[in-house]
Amino acid sequence: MLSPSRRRRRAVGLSLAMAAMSVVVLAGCAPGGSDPGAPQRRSVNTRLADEPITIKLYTETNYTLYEELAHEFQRQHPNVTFEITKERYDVLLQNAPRLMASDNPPDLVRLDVQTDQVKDNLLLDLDPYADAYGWDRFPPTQLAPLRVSESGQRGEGSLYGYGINHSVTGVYFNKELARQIGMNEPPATMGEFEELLQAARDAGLLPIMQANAAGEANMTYQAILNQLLDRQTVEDWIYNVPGATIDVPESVAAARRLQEWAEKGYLNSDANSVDYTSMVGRFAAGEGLFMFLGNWQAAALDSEMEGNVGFFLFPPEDAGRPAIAMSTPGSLVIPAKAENPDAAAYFLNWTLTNSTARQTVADVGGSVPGGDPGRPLPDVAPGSVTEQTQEAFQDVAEGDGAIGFLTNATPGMFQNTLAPQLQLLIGGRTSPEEFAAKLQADYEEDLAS
Amino acid sequence: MTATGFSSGRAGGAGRTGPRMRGRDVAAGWLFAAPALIVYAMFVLYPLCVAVQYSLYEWNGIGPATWVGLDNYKNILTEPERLAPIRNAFVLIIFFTVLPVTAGLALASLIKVIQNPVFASAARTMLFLPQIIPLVAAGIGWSWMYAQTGLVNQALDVVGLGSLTRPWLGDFDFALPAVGLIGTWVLTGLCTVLLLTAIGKIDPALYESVRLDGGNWYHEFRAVTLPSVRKEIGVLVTINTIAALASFDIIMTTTGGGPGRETMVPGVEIYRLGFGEREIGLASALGVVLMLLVLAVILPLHRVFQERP
Repeated sequence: MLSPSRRRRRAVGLSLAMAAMSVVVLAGCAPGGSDPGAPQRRSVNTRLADEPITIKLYTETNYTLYEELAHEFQRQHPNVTFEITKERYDVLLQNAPRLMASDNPPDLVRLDVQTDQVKDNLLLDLDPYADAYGWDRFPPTQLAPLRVSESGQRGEGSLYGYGINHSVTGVYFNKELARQIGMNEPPATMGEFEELLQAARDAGLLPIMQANAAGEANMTYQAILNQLLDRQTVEDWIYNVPGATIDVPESVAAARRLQEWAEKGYLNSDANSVDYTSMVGRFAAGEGLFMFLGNWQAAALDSEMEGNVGFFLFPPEDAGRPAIAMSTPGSLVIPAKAENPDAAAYFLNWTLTNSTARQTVADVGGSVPGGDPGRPLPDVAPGSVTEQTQEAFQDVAEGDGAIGFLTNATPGMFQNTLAPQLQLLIGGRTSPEEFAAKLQADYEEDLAS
Repeated sequence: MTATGFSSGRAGGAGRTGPRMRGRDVAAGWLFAAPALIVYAMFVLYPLCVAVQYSLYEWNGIGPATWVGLDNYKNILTEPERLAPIRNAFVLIIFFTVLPVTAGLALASLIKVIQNPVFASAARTMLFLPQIIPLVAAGIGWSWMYAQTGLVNQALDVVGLGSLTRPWLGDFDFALPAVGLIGTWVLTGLCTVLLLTAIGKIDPALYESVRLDGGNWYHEFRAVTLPSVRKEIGVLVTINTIAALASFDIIMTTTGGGPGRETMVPGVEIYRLGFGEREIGLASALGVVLMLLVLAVILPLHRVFQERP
């Protein structure tokens, strides 16, 4: 028999040998695919085939608009069957690239267009369809966020996504509590807004219901930033224009503003441990005068708060300046390797041209349908908060004030930079200067890799 | 285990000697071990080697990869931001290992003393209960209890400690101890039950002799109980320390690493780097570092508990 120590040495030796062997085998090839170059342009067919066809849709669980549209399309086109897979959006974001690269990719994916995916040749260039269907008549601001140039810059170049609904962010308010502090109309300036915050605090009310367990305060921070920093600088940063920077006095000032709000007790003291769902639940239950959020929550709030909820765009610093708010298309993409790209594109075109589909965008999505501005708008219940968010969307569109989300600047920006930094900012553990500098440093690090 | 060990044990045996037989024995040995070896190679060795390989590249998981040598390791070992999660993991050892093993030892000794079998088994069941709850469910449950209006703060209010209430998981100073205590809660049951079994196997005559020598309960504990359960403590320290260093579920479901990065641990950081930032190379390198770290901590501990019979 071998002694235990000799035996152990042998076992270690054996596994080391096996490990070394595998490394040698693996070392021959680098991981990942080779760069096949940009795929060729292909001819497109705008007629929907008559034979049975299955369209695979990969969408998100939290927002049911896309699957509802698929169901309606199935009703109208009995030969088409939708095979729907759903996932929470953050999970979907992580899985989508691998799924699109696989041998069995979906035909349609709910995805915001990102530079990485275009670089990796995962997305189908939709320009041929845009020409064939006349999507180029859409307002340019609707299409810009879905374009990526050959050099990898967002905002210009070929079209890679199709925006169906459009988000718009602003401030929800509890009408009952607003009446208590004598707020008869939405504030016209940031100064007026802050007076209302103080009035609510004095009246013993919570001024802002805020979640920040996963960095939800990014909406609040960017709402302030949008008013202080010029639109182009923010957009360049989000679109990764070379040399773009957010480490400027205005973003420091915006961070200071938010930190002061936290210090003055304008936010619930447990904001850093409150998640999105709890925030909406507590606001709907009557806690908090204001809540910074977007129109995607409008339909649900209408049913939960029944006439007791209003919405306004976050006001500019000086009255009369055009409204600037985050407003982006909720887009579907067609993977480059999709089996039925023609049918998928036909469906996309249908969502914004069919009147039932457009009504669904309003009813289920709580949003204004994008597309040709000449088409009639769907009906919404008068006096509902959905109606107010739709008006807000139109205001932003008319003033050309739509801007993207800071969170989308790089794949890691939201989870790894904004979320922890906003928690530190609200918790008083970082200075506004450090906050702005850190955002820029991480941004540059993300882009360098 | 090894082929030579197998046959050398046979060498002196009666009848079945000779090179032919020996060769057949060796082949049979490998044949028996083959299924396990293949599975082990496929699901442990291969992924391990692939992770080592990935860690030498800059890769987003889809596109072409770029060879970067040891840059990923350099990044991990020099960036203070990447070192903080490792420090947090060591803090968690207090909550995952020191507290549960100590509490388990105390509780097991206590339950041993209780003569009422119904009460003893009820206590055992209750203590073990957290162990069978999935960690994800435990995390969600505890995040409700730790909320501003949760049970923990309600309890503090009731006993007049209302000034201490806070949103525990959102508090920069208390978030890490708070998630650590969830680990303590989960692991104490396992420690208690395992140590209880070990104590049950101790020869009662040993206790009797201590008592005859005029020793009290402390002497019993010090001279009989502790040395007898040394091996079991070694096992618990090992698995709990691994649980602390490689923790993921509890952190992920309660704080996600926040507030700020106060509760960030290597497990969650690997997940974020790999899936959120799509830095497969960096994530793999951190995984390899974590593995080496666990080995560096566990092997010396193992030695401490194994030697000196």
